[in-house]
Amino acid sequence: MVVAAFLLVTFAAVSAAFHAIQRAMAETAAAAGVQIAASGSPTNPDKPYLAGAFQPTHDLLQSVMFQTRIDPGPAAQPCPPKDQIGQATLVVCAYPDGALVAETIRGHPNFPIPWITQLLPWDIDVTVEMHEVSYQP
Amino acid sequence: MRQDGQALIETAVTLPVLIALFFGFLGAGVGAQAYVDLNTAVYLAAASSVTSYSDEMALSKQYAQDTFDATVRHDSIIQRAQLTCSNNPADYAAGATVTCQGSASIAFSQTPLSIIFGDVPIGASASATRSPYRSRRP
Repeated sequence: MVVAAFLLVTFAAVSAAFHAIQRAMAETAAAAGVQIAASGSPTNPDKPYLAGAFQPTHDLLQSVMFQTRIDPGPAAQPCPPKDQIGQATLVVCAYPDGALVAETIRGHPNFPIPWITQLLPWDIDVTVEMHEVSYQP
Repeated sequence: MRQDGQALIETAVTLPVLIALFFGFLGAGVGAQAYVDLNTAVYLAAASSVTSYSDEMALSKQYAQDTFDATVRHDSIIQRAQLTCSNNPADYAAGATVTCQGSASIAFSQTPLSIIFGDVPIGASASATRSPYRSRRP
């Protein structure tokens, strides 16, 4: 029984640590993306560059998202609810929120041990916001 | 019989330690998550502050506060979050550096971990430098 409890604790520690790394990277990636999104777009410096948020976010996320698809969400709209996002998939959405620009990373990242995600709710749902950048003279 | 008793005592001694470790790992994970979230909110607030016009302390602070509030409101584990940015008008000139500090509490009381942890205060600090070419309000 003690051995079983020890293995359970070890397993919980390892999986919690891995989830913490994934979530921290999601927060960092969202912060990187929202700064691009809040900046002026190439065609109009007074409009946020929402489409520019995805690539830097994707590049940062993929290093720790083990065999997880990272998809762009609906253009300029909030992400769909978690239950509409498939397993091993993350959705990245950048959208306006008044004078601010928001970026959400939402979904179910894959785990090195596949069946863990069916036992533990290791979802990711991170949203950061930033005031739009103004480039008027 | 003696072996059964020994196993029982070993279990009685070891199990509380393992349970404490289990909740300790969970608490550390939640705490790390809250700290990363607060740090990101303060970092974005400072970055946002330096994008407003130069020599506009009130507007810069408003940008920072809007960014900070909008980011932390998505996080239920962070409560009583507050942001303070520097009060020296010279820090808001073109090319100057603004420093912001954030504080909050990790709301363990909102989680099942409240049986072990109380609310824990945390803090974070971030600086950002305004572009030397940032113009004044026209």
